[in-house]
Amino acid sequence: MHNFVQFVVGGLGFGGIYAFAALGLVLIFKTSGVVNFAFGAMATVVTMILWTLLNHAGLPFAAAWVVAMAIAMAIGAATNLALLQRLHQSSPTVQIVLTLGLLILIEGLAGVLWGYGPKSLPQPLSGTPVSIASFLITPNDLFIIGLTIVIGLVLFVVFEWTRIGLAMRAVAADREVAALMGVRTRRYVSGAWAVGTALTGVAAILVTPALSLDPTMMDQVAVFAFAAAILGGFGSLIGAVVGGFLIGVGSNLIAAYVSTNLQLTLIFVVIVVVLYLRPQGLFGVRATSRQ
Amino acid sequence: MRQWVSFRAVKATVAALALAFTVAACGQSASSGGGGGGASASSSSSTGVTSTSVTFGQTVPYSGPAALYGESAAGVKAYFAMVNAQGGVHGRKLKLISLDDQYLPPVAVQQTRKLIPQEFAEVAVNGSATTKAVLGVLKPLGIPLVGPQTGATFLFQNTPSILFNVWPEYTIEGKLLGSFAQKLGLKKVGVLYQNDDFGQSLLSGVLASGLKPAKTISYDPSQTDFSPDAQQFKSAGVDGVIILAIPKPTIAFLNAMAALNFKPVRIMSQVSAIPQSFSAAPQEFPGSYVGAFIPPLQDTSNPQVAQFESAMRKYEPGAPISVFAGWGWTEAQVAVAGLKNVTGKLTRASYIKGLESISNLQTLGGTVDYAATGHVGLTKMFIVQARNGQLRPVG
Amino acid sequence: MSEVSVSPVAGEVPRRSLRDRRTLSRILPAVVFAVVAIAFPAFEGGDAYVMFTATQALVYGLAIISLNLLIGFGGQISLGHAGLLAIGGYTGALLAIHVSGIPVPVEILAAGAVTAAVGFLLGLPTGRLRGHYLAIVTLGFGVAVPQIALNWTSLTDGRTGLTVPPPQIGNTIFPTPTELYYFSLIVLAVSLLAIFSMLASSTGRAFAAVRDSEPAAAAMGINVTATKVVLFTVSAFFAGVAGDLNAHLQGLVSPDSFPFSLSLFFFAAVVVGGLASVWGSLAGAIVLAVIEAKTSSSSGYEPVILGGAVVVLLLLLPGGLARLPATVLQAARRVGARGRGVRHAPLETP
Repeated sequence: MHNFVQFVVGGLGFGGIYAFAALGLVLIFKTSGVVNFAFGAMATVVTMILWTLLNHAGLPFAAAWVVAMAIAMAIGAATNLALLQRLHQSSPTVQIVLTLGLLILIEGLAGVLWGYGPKSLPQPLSGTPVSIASFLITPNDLFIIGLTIVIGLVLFVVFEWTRIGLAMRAVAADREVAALMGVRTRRYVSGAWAVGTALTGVAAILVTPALSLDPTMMDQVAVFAFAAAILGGFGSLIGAVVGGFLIGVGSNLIAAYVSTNLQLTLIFVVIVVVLYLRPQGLFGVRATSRQ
Repeated sequence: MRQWVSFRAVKATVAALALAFTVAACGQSASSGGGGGGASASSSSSTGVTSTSVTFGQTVPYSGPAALYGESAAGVKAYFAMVNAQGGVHGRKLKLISLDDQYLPPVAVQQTRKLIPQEFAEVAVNGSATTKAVLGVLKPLGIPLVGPQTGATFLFQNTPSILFNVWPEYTIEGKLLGSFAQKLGLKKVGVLYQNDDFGQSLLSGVLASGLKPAKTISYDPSQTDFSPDAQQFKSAGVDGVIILAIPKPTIAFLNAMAALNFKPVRIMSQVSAIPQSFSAAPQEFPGSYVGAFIPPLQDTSNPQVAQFESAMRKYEPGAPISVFAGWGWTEAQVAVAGLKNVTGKLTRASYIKGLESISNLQTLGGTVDYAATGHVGLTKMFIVQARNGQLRPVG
Repeated sequence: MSEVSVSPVAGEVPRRSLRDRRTLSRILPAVVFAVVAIAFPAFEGGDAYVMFTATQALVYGLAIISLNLLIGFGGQISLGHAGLLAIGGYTGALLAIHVSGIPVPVEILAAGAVTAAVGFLLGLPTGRLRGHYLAIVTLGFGVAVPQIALNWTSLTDGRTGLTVPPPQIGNTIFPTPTELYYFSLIVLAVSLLAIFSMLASSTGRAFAAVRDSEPAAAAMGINVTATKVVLFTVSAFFAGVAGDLNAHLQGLVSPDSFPFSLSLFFFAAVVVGGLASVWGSLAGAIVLAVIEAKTSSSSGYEPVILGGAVVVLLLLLPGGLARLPATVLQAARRVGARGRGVRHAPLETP
């Protein structure tokens, strides 16, 4: 039993990271209807920039993080304004493939600019594992979990109970009508892209100490984050957080009790089964056929 | 039945096809070598050889999970440059074409096809699965391959005549690591290994040393989260762990153990010996034991090491002077020694004979003696320890 | 260009002639492609790598067309198409290795059939799934197949992969790049005939009806679920064929031949070529294969150029390469009209 709980606890760290990345993806999707497949690669670039700030500009960690977040937001907003907006008349499929092209392009650029050798980043909170009720957890993991929950709640509150959130929901529901009603849709969509990119950037920064930083670092994480978003109901912020933790813990348990080699396969089996029983995801709204 | 194409269209198509075949027939007679010119037309025994040069090809990872192994190319280039500065081999300068295979067999195969029309032989190809795939392309064409960067078992069974191993067989390294664990008096040893040729060859070596691991866990190269593996070893109460993995998973696993406050004795294969691990896995990499056949690079009293380092500084100044570069240098030494032994016309067949007559060749990685051992290269390895930012002799 | 046409008023079958622009637009690309494809090796047959790239373009073309059937013509989603190619590839490789002397047409049909069976199973739950659920199921499938192949070492030799013998019929073996090229071309041509026939039939029209509006299709009496299952099965069949061709081309089938990025690549290629356009998919395949061949080297610029090409092509031609002739014609017409001092509102929207 002790082992079981330790396995659960061990999965929470990665779970928080998947949740963060999923939050970024869902935020962009909720507002603009676009699945940003390049979200992992953009986050990797943000992390590379942080690494450069730390190692070549000599900034302290917290300051570098703030600067990196600002740059992330700029990148996100710019991507939307310069590229996605040009295609916003086209179907979502076309826009998604544009982000696919960006994924390949951005990873390649990261390789050209920073090379493919692994780099390291320190943990935000270093320190030996602490014992909570005889279970070991690192201060860093506690930080990740706490931050994920707090940010998730903040986003949820903003979306549901503020005017900004109301505007975003209006844009998400029907962009043209929202524009007609005076909502500056481009501003809100760009804002969502900005914040979403920053959120996924946080995930990448948090995962680097475990994985070591290189242009393809987020590939695996992105797949899990995407799955987490869908498991949670693709469009629910709370769902993204819950989905992320479930996948982090679930894949840990599968690796521990079933097989480490088929981890990826089995976690997808689990997700597919859950979704078959509840097609809208854990927190999603059942879609009615509107065609 | 609905007719979906008119008769007129069919006539037009037939006419077009006839036109196409006529054009093809004319083009056929016009182009040299015939249209059927397969790979054999673009690669013969004298491909890659001129009176003034000899071209070697290779596929190594410059990107992807094993990107650092690409550093080995610098070692090859530095050695070639040094030899060229001394006039080359029998008046021929050495050239290297190095392409990125991303550590993926299908990419390696594609890149090899690009190399075939240009190269005489291959040197220092990286990876177990990738080398096996590349061999499938090189064998039918009789293109020699010297010094694949792998010690996988399949290379030493029914070794093709074109293949010349330089690296020690992985079972040798596995035995070394397993014996060392026993020598340290470890009571319960865990083994983590990659679930492919590379990991399994090493594992069989470990087991052949007589070690009875308390727990063995295999991992998939796509795995990113090693906390379940670390935890299983911890629960099994192992006091030592043998890690048979490439750098990225090694780092992830070391950090996963650190997160559990778990620090058994750590013994790993030479393929994980990257200096970046000192900062990427600061708690657990220092103090680890690593297998090696490249001698410690701080020891410049060793003439091979001194020559290697001065050549690297002179001819590849931007490149890291690392164990991986040392691999490439060693493999290049063997490849060139084979060339030197060819006194008559240089063909692939005569090159293979030249290699086979290599006797008691001193290289950076040890002695190579194909005349005595067939196509087996190095056979000796030793243990080093990661200390103070470098790999140092033990004790 | 190859949109399935709406059925005409009952009793009236349009006369087709070469002067009919729609017929021309159907026949012309086929003729051009056939001429170029058949004559090509006569000029480049001596260069093995060029032939390899050309064959790769054909194989990618079939793979992308099979995905386009699913996405463009059928309106479904798949993020795991590489998994279907893997099944076709491994089936073909295993048959070629273990059944000595198997004639390659039999081998290809078997590979296609096995993959079609898997596609059938994938398509079965589509009654209940759509959108994101389908995306996740196909993604999981695409990721699971290579991982299973990696671990099922007794069958697949794990990460090392299976070396694929050259295709053969009876005593004739086709090992050279040019022979492989013609062989792939023939398979592609036969597949195209089958696909065009199917698209023009009532099944093809059912695909389009389901894609455009499921409730409307159901109201017209179409069995929506059955149509979707057929769609998956057919798409999987041709994916399996492409996978088998690819296995012979590469000479090796290994789990690393089918990463998730390959599925994404196919998905992007479908859209870049043009949804619901077979010729667009072929054009896209050729463009992407050439870019891939020309740029892969140690400089690391390949993904930058490839990704950049996708982005630029989409920004310029959101409708895909298939819209290129129409866009060029329209631009030419506008220039011509302006030259004649006439201002027209464009009759066709871009």
